[in-house]
Amino acid sequence: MPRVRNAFKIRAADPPLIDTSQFLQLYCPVLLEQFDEEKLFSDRLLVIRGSPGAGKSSFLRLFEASALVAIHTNRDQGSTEDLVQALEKLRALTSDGPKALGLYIHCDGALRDVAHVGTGDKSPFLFNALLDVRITRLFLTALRQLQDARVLSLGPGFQLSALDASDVVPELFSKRLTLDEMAERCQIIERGFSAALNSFPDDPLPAEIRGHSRLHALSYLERQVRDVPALNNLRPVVMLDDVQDLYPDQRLHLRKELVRRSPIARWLAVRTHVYGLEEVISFQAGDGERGDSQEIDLDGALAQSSLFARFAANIVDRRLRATQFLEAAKLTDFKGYFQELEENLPASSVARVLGNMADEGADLRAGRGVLAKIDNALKVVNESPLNFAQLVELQQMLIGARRLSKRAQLPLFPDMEFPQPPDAKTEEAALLFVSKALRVPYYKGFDKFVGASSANVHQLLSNLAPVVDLLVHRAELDQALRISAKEQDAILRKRADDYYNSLVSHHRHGAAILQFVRNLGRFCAAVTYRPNAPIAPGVTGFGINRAQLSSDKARLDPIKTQVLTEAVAGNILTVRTIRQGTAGAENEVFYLNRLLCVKFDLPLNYGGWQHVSLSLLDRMMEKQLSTSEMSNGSRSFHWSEEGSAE
Amino acid sequence: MSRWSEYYSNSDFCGFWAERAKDEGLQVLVIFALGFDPRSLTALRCLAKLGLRDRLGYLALRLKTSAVFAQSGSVAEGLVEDNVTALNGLHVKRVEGILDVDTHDEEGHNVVGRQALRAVANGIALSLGKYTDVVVDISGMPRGAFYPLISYLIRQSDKGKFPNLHVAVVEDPLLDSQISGIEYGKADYLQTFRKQGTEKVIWLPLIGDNEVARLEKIHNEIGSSCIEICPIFPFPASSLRHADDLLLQHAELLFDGLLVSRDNILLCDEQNPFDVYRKIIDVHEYYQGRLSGALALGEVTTVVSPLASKMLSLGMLLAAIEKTLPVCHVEAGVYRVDKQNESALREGSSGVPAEIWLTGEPYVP
Repeated sequence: MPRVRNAFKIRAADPPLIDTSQFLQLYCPVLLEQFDEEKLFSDRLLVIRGSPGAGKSSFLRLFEASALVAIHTNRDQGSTEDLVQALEKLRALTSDGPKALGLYIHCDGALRDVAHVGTGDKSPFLFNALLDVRITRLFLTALRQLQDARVLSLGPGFQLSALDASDVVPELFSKRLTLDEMAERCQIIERGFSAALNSFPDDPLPAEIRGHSRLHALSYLERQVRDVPALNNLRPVVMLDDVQDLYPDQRLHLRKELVRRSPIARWLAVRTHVYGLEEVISFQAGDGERGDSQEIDLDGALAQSSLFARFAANIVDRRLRATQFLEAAKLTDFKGYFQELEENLPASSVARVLGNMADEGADLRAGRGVLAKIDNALKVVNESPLNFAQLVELQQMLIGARRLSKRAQLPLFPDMEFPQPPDAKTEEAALLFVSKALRVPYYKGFDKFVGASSANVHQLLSNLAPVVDLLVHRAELDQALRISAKEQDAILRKRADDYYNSLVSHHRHGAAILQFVRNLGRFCAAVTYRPNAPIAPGVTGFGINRAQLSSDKARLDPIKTQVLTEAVAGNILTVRTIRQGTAGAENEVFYLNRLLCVKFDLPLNYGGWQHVSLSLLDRMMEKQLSTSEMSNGSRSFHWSEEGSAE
Repeated sequence: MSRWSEYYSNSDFCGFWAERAKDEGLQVLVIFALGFDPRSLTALRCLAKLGLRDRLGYLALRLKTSAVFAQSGSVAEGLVEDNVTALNGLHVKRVEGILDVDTHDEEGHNVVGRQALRAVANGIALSLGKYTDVVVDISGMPRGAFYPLISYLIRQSDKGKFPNLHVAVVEDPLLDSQISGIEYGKADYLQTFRKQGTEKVIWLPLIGDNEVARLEKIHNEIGSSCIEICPIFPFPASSLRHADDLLLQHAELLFDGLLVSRDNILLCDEQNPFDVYRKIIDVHEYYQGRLSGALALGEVTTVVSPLASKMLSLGMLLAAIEKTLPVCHVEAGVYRVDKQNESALREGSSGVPAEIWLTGEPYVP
């Protein structure tokens, strides 16, 4: 199996740029295990949502005939075993060969630009014609690939069945044709479209392209698998990727065409959006056709921390095996390379932090017992300075005392009042506070690298790639394979800086997004580092009440809606619907991408968020606001248990 | 033999035209983009000084960008105003039009090519015949606009609508470094340079400074059909270290991320568009000959991406026109000029325009 210097950097996750065996080795089947055959191959339309890098395209491309044939022919290789099992469970693959026949169509600029070919009223008809010919051509290619792999035999003189002749059936589908004849006709029509799409304003429309009022390719495929015995067991799947790149009326048209029930499976992959596009693409609610479609939310599936942890582990394991010098390393070895923080802290740093704690606690109205402890620690700081864990414990007590002090009613004996019992969240907040105060690494350990990936495959690989670079370098020099906590922290912070700095150039409305993120990050940090850690371990997002969103939607400037949509579509914000507060009240909570949490020294946990008004949201995109301005425009803090997002 | 195997270019545009303007029968039309770029008017300014009077006309394409909020492009907007004022000050009487061209539609898709083509085809197609020479000044024009535009004009010239087509370009790396493209959208094929079918792709990106993000975006667009990548670096260049610097900037993406073979690197003369033109054609023919129909790959085509200087991009365009090559590109949504660079840009460019003659007299056998 070919190995590369650092397989975590490979961006070309699709064949053919990398060879098929490498692709199969790198593909992680954990996601496949989440779905069942009934859902994937149902007669209802399936909408697959996800942010960029969530793995939509790779998921779709796995079902293409070429990929399934490659898996089938390499099924004896140990590395494809789990992939084969997962695909067999879905009945996409059997021991006889592929059964699913994924026809992958990228909704590219050509499909979109058909809207500009000919006169405007012809464009939906031409859209149908182009889609029909693409689906059919892909079907032919897939049949040929199965034939070449000797898992399908069509015999000499094989002819495709025709649709019943009528006025509305396009000529392409109205006659029985051999594969070669059909391929030739498809090619002529596609060339016509290419010529039209590349034409100048004064060029005539090529004669070979003719529009038709509806999509016929699905009926045509249905006819083939029903009437042609050799094709009876095949399950063609029409897979349209990046549907969000089409024009709105094209998306509506597509929806109308594909939502009709059909034995031919139809999968649409779209980017996650907040609203706007979501309303157009949503087949689930309020469109009067409820029940005719179903949805897979890849972000939601991966957001389950246990699933993404498994997913990440599997991906890391596969990439390690493809990396020179590390191919023998197991995942547990790899995790072991991430070193913990060194215990010994300089007495001067400890004294500085204790001094800060003492100053900060000076005005405590309750739980003042902690001040005595700080004082005692300060007295002996040169002889026996506290270690990191002890400092965290003290910080935790200080947070507890601060919370007690904020109670409306003061205790009778403030020094004897005990703070609330410590919990894991407050401990994490204390860890964050102390790490920042001591300027010691907080973002360290394999789990933090996984956490900083926002449940996104590309981000995970990009976070780990520099770690692997260092390890490979050390392996080459015969040095010990370990990465210090300081190095880990520096790597993640550099990644965060790079990500933050790229926002403006990478995204449409990037300048407004950057402005918004800058405000939001500062706002979250201001709340997180309040001495009483109100939403421990920290606030990393904002929430809008869903009812408010629908009633006030008209009040949010459409351009700003676009900014928000772009931020969600670009994975800068992750949306989760959270039920909290009054019965049935739903909130759309927008969490910062976890790399942005690193940028603003925030914890990587999901959960803490704060309500904001639409008017504040509006201003946050426009200009830099002070944290007090933002606090005035925000309302209550909230904590949602991780995993409770729906 | 390729169309521009013998060519005419002159590094002194003004000198060339001072000589040519002596011909009394000359009727010259200048097409340029009226944007923020201080080089936008260079060719017209030069020609306006030659006493052509009513034998000189112009068509300006006023670029409308899509900055969401004023701060994204406020400096740039001021520079546009400067150019408009300067244009009025040239007192060129024969104005064929000042046409608005949106760079992006409401959904954020780049439409500058379609809009520019439409503007020219509807605005002056009939008037083209009145001119003996059409000069397209690409100095301030985005690639998405001048690629389809020059392609269209070459065809009109070939059809005999007008005899001579020229391109003017000012290269000014210092000025370029003070302007940064931001808010890049998705990669897509340029208008009239769409990929024709499902062929496998040999990708030839022209590498400029700090283009990692755009290279990634373009690769995402063509990725699954890409079987070979041959990056093109400028060498020789005005700075002989430039190619090395570019290689270092892009090494991680090219060699580790996209697994580009080091043997695939192409070097092309930065100052001569016909060098890159010739090399792209050679590479295209090489792969066509070796790979088409072989190894069950099916048809193979070459996709080019112009991410470097205008001069090299022009050479790439000529190859794309001649061999019908698809051009995949990402245009900036907005151009940003930092406040501290504003005064430098207001002073204008110290670059000298070059003349590249594409159709007409030098090519008549």
